[in-house]
Amino acid sequence: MPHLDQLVAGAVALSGGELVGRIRLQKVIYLLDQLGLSSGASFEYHHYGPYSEVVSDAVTDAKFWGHLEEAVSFRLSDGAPYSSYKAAIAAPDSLGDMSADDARRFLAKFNSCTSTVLELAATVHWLAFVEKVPNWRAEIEVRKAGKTDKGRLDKALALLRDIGLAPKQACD
Amino acid sequence: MTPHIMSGGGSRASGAPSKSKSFRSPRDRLTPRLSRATPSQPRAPGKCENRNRGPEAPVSVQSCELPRKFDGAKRAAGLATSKVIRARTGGIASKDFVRYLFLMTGMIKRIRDPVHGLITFDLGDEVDRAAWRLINTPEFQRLRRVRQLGVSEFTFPGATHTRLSHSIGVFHVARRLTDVALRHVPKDKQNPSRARTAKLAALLHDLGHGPFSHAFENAEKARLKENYRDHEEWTAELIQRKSGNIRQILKDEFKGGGSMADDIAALLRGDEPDLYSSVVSSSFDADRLDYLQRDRMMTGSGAGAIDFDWLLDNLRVVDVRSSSVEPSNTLEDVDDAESNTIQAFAFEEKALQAAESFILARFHLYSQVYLHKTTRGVEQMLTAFLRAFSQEAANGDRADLAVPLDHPLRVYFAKPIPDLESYVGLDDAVVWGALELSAARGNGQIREFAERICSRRIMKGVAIDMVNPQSIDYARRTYINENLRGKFGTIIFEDRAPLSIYKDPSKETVKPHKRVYIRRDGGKVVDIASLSRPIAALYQEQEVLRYYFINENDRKKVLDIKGDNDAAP
Repeated sequence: MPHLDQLVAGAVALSGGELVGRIRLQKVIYLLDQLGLSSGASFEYHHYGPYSEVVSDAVTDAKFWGHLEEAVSFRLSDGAPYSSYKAAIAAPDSLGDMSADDARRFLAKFNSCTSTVLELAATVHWLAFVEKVPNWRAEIEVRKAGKTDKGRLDKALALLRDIGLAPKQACD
Repeated sequence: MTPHIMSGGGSRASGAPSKSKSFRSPRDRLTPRLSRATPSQPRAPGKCENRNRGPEAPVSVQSCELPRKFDGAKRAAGLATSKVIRARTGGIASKDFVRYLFLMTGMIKRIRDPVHGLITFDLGDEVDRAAWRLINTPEFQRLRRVRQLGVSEFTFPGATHTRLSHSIGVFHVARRLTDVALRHVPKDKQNPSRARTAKLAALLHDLGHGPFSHAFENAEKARLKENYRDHEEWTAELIQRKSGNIRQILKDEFKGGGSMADDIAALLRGDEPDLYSSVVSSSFDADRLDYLQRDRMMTGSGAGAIDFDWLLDNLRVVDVRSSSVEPSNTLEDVDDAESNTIQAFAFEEKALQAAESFILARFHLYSQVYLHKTTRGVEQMLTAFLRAFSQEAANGDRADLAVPLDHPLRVYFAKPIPDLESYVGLDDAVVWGALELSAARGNGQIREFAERICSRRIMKGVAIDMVNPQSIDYARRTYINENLRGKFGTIIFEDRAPLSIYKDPSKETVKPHKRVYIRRDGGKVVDIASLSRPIAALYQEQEVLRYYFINENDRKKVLDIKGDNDAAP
C-alpha cells in the first residue's frame, strides 16, 4: 500500500492532473474512501464536513516529495485566495484498493459538481452513516444553512445515488 | 464648587458613540464619565442633563450625602448607590451622575496593565460591573496560575505572564472593537445586546484552559481519543453550569435566568458567526490583538510589532459575501456568488501596510516564539511525562506514583472520562508539584521525563525544512521513515506544526470572518491576499517538522546522514 501522500497525488493525477480547492480535495478523498480506496485516513467532522488532519499532512508531504504542486489564485469577485493542486507524477495504475479506471470514473463525476455540492454529499454521508443521525435531512439543513437551497442538496443526493452511497431515505 | 454633569457623549454605556476619529487613551477613559461643561454647552449650576429622561432636572450634588463606603459583599453596589441618590433627589438618578459618584467614592476599579496601560471598570456600567465581579471568582482566578505561553519560559525567561492578565487585556480590546462597531454600524442595524455578550465572552474566552495548554491537550488527545474535550468545551461548561459562580453573576446582573451565560457560550462556540462574534474570533480579534502585543513584550522578542492605534483608527464595518466557496474545476459556483452578505471588519486601504504587518507579526511570532525548537522540545517532554503519568494513574490506588492519592493531577487522571470538578483542580502549579515529586521519588519514564524537565535537560531535535528542502532533508527524512519509525512516541518524537498566516483549524479554506479585508479607495472590499504579494505568498500552508530524540546516539545517526547536494528527491 502506498503512503497517503502518494494516494493524494495519485488522486489528483487521475482527476485530469489538476484539482481546485482544499475543501474539494478533502471531500474527494473522503468519498473515494467510502467507495473502496482504503486510504487509512481518519476523518472528523469540521466546519465544512468530514475532514482529515492526516490528509492535510499528506498534501504537505506530497508537496515536500515533489509529487504535488500547489498554486494560489484569487477569486475575481472579492480576491479570496484558493489553492489549486497539480500532479507532478504520472497517473498511477491503481489508487489504493481501487482500480485506476474506477477511480477515474468517480473523479470525473466529482469534477462535474461544484465544491459546495461535494461538501453536501460528503456531509450527508457522514450524518447518515457515521453519526447515524436518523433525520439527517433536517440536520443538514441546520449544519449547512444557506448551502442546501437552489437545488444543491438535490444535486448532492443525485451524486450519492449515482455512486451508490445514498442513505436509504434518499433512494425512496 | 459644584461640578457640571452631562450624560451621553463619549460614554460606551450611553449608546451614543463619539464621532471623533481618535480613540481615548486609557487615562481619558475616566474623564468622559466626569463630563465637563464646555463653552458650547453651558450648564446651569446644580443642573443635570439626562437624555434618557428628557427634561433636565435639578440635582444638587452637595445635597447628596454620599455613602463613603459601599458594601462589596452585596453585589448591587451600584444599584444601592442609585437608590440612595434617587431617595435624595426625588427619584431622579442620572447614569452619569451615578458614575461621577462612583468615581468620587472609588467605584471605578482600575488595573494597571503593562500592555494597555490603565484598564478601568466603571461599576455604574452593567458590563464593566459584571466583568469586575467575574474576575473575582475562583473560576477566573485559576487563570492566575496558568501561564499564557506554557513552557515558553524555558526559552524566554520573561514569558511568565498568565492567562488572567491576557483575558483582562482581551476584554479591554473587545470594548474598543465594539466601540468601532457602534460607530460604524447604522443604528437600525446595531445589536447592543450582542455587543454586550461579545465583551463578556472576550473576558471569559480562556476560562477552560488547562495547565500548559498545548502539552496537556496533546497528552489528553492521545489518552481520551473520542472522549477528548478541548478547552473551548470546558470553557462553555464552566460558564453555563448552574452551580457555578459565573452563571450566578450573569444571572444577577442581566436577569433572564442566566441566559446571558448561554449566549456567551454560544458566541464562543461560533454558533452564529457575525460581526460581534468576530470581536472574539476572527483574524483581527481581541484575543489576537492582545496576545501579539503581550507575548512580544513579555518574551522580549523584537519580532512581531504591530501598529495597534493606526489599525484601530482605520477599522470599519463592511458587508461581505457570506459564502466561502471555492471555484470548481469546471465551473464557478455562481449560485454561491449570489449568497447573502454579512457584516465584517475591514481596514481602509491606507492601513494596508499596517494590516500586512499585523498578519506578518503573527507569522513571525509563530515561527520565532511559539514554535521555537527549544520550547517545542520541552513541550514534547511534558506531553510524554503527562502520558506516562496518566497511564499509571489509571491504576487508581495501586498506581506507582510519587504524588499522594489526593494530588489533583492524580485524581484527574484516575478518571477514565474527566469531569469538570477534577479538571478545574488543575493548573500549572499542580503540574509543577507533580513534576518535582516525580523527579525526586518517581520511577521509570515518569521520573526520567520529570528529571529532565526540572533540570532543563531538553531533548534535542533535528529539523526538516519543509518549505525549501535540500537533499539533506530528503535523505534524513527517508532514513527516519525507514529506520526509526518504530521508536516514535517512546524515545523519538515527531513534531508537526502548521504555520499559516490565517488561523484556521480546518485548514480547508478561510471562513468569511477569518479573513482580513481591505476597503479599497472607491469602496470595493477585497481580501488582503489579493493586494499584498507577501501575504499571498504565505497563504500556502507551511509546516514545521522536527524529530526529537531521547538518545543522543539516535540523533547523531540522523545528523550523520548527508545528502547529495545535486540529488533530486
